[in-house]
Amino acid sequence: MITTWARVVGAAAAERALPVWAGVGVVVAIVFGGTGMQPHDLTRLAIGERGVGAALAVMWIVLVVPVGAAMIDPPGAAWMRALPSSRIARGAITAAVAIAAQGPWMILWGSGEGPLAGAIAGISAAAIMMIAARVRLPMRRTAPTWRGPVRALAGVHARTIVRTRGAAIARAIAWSACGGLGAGLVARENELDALVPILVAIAIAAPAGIAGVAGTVAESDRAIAWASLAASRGARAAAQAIVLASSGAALGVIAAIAAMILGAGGPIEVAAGAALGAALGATGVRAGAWGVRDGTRVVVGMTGAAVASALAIGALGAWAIAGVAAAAAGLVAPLASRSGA
Amino acid sequence: MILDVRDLGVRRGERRVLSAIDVRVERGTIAALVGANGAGKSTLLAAIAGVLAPDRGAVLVGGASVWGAERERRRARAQLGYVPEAADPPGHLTCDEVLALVAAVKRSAPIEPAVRARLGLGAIANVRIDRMSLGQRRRACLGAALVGAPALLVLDEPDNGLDPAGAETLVSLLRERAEAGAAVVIASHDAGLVEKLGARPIELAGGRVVDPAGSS
Repeated sequence: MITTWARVVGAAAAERALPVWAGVGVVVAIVFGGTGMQPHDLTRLAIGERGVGAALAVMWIVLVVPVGAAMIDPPGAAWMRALPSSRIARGAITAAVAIAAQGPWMILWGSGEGPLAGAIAGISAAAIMMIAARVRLPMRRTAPTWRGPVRALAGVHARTIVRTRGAAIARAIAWSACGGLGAGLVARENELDALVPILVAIAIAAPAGIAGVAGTVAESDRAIAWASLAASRGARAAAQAIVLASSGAALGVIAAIAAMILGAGGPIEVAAGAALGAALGATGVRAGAWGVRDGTRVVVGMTGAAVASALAIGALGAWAIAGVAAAAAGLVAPLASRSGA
Repeated sequence: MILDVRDLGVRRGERRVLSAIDVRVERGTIAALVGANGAGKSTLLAAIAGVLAPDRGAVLVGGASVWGAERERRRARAQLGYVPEAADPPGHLTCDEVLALVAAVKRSAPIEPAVRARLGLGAIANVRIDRMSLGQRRRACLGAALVGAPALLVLDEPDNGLDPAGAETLVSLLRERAEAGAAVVIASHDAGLVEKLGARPIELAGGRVVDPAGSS
C-alpha cells in the first residue's frame, strides 16, 4: 500500500519535475560553463545581494509549484485514501518526494555553502512549494463583451491558456527569468554589452515557454470551430498570433528585467526582448497547427525556431529580430488563406 | 429558398459517405434528416454547416456558397446556427463566454433575453461547461446556435440529453423560429420529435436521399 502510494505520488511529481530539472541543466551549463563561475559564486551573490537572492528563490518556487500541485491530488489517489493505511506514512512519503523534487536547488546550495545549507534549502523550498501549490486564485467570471471576431477568439484562447496550462505558464516564466539572470551574469562577469547575451537567452527560453502553450491554442481554435463558423481564416490565424506573440513578448520582457536585476541591460534591452519574444511567439501558431495531433511536433518546431534565432542573433546581433519577425509572418500567413473549415 | 444543396458528395478517406445529394429547404419550414446509423445524416449537416468539406457539389445558404470564396463563405456562415451531435465547447469556458464568443464572431446582438430565459441559461451563466450536466451543455449549445436569430438552424440530434421539459422548450422554440421565417434542418432518430415539430422528413440511406422527389 505504502509502496503504491510512493509510486503514485512519485510518478505525478516526476512527470512535472523532470522537465524542470532538464531545463535547469541547460541553464547551469550556460551559466557555469560560459563564465567559469562556481556554485559558491552564485550562492555568495544570492546572499550578498538581496535582489538576486530573492529573484533566484522566487524563480525556483515558481518552477516547482506545478510539481507540488500535481502531488496534491494525483490520478488514482482518491480511492487509495479510502483504504485503511497510515496517514502519517502517506504524509511522510509525500514530504520525502517533495524534498527530492528540490534536487537541483539542494545541489546548488549544498555545493555552494555546504550540506547543511543544502538540506535547509531543500526542506524549506519543499514546504513553500506545497503551501503555494494549494493557493487557488479566484477566477473572474463575468460575461465578456468582445467587439469583433479577432478579440473574441483571442479572448477565448487566452482563457484557455490561463485556465488549463498553469504549470506551463509557470515554467515559461521561470525559464525566461532563468535565462535573463544567466545572460546578466555572463554579461557582467565578462564585461560584455548585455544586448546580445539577453537576446540569445530569450531566443532559447521563449520558444521553450511557447512550446508549452502553442498546441493548446491550436486545439482551442479547433474546439470552437463549430461555434465560430462566421469567422474568417485570417481572423482565426490573427487571434492565435496575437495571443502567442503577446505571451512571447511578456517572456522577453521578463528575461530582460531579470538581467536588469544584475545590472545588465536597460530599456533598450527590454524593448528588443519584447520584440524578439513576440516574433518567436508568433512562430508558435505554425508549430501549433503542425503539432495539433502530436505534441512532439510542437516541441520540434519551437526547438528549430530557438536554434535558428539564436544562431541568427549570434551572427547578426539585434538585426536578427527583423529576420525572425519576417520568418514568423511568412509562417503564419499561409494559415490565413489555407482552404478548409 | 434559404438552403440549396446541389449534387453534394463527401468522401472520408477512400470511403464515399455522401453521393449526389440534392436538398432544398424553404424559409419558414422545418426539415428532418432521418435514416439508420451511418446513413450520412451528421455528415450532411456538417457539410451544410461548413465544417466538413465536400469533394463535389455546392451548398448555398441564402444564395451564398458555404464553401465559396472568403467573403461569400462568411456571408453564408453568418446566416447559420449549428450544433453538431457531439457539440462540446471547451470545458473551461462558461456558458456566457460561449454565447459572447458566437455573438462577437457573428457581429450580432447577444442572445435574446427571452430565449435565454426559456433555455434556463441564466442559472448556468457563469458555470463552466465541464461542470454542467449533459442536458445543460446541450441547452448552452442550443443557445449559442440561436444567437443572432440565424436564418437557418442546423441541429444534429437537438434533443440529446434534454429532459422532457427541455425537449418541449426546444420544440416550441424551433416552431417559433420557423413561424418567424427561419428554416430549421435537424437530424434525428426520434420520430416523436419529428412529428411534434411537423418536420418534412428527408430519408437518407447509404449516403443518398432515398426519395429525391421528396427532397425539394
